[in-house]
Amino acid sequence: MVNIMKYMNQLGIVLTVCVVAEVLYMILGLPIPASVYGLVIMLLLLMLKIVKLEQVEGIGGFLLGIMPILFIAPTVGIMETVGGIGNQLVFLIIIAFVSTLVTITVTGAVAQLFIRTRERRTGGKDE
Amino acid sequence: MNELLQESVFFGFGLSIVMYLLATKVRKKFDHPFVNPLLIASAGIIVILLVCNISYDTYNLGAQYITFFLTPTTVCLAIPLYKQLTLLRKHLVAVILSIFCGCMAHLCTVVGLAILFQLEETLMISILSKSVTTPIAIGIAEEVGGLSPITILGVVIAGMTGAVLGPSILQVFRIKEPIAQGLAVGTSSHAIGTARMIEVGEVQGAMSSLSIVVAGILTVIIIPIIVPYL
Repeated sequence: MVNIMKYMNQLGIVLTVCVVAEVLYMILGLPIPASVYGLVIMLLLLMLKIVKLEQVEGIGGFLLGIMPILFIAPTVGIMETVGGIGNQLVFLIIIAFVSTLVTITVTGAVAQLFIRTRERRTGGKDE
Repeated sequence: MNELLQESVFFGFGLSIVMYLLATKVRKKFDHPFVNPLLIASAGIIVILLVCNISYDTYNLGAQYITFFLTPTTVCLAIPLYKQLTLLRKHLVAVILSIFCGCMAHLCTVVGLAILFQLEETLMISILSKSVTTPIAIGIAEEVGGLSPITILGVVIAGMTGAVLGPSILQVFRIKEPIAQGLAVGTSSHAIGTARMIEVGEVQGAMSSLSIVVAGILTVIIIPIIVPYL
């Protein structure tokens, strides 16, 4: 029973952050999803030690663990759309595939160049 | 079948959970990047719905209650990010700069190829946010007038491509720094790619999960600014 109450408390903290995030989203009217406000708020709360890691770690581990399940319904929703786009589907898949490969290469190359340049400047030592 | 299930809120909910559990069992038997539980479960449900002639709306009546947890889960992504804060601080410039370059390269490639293939504008806008994690990607797509199912299709393709081909691509281009490898796959292939990088190494996994958040936030800022000019 103690364990269940602990989880309820943790869920309470997370849901409170969600509500604040949604209110912020409505007030500010910026094209940023409420979930991103929530993420930043939670990070700030942790960094400022207003919320301790132990106070959200349990529910966080649970939610992040079941994360793939949350994407099932939206993925099944593909069946509603795929029929409507017809021959554009092939191009869409090619674009998604190629752009992913380009992103991997560019991000990796820039990061590696940066890390190696810094290492050379500091004589191989970090910091 | 539709009439029978139209009132059942538990049908879609239950079907999703049961299919996911079955898919994880398949995964245990055949451990291969292509065997992705999310993909198997979703494909299985689509087949069941089509065979039994059940509409997506009937299914989603119950399934929407699962989707409800997307926002709290995204909020919880702050927890792994907080745990990796020291790693982030140490390589802050490399992290921000490379992820920014990756996001811009992604944007240019999508727009360039879309023009080349004369892809419909709504479709192109829908996949602009496809390299970030689903809740953020859907949020952005809805903000800029994209179709969220198309976005999810893009997100799944991006994730699977990075998870399956990511390590080989890194090898071909001689990207050997573990930090760079993690950033590369996390920026392009979000959580699905990250799951693969965790298998590759500890640093790769940490940097990849970090990229989910940083790339997500950068994309949130970049896409709405750029879309009006397309």
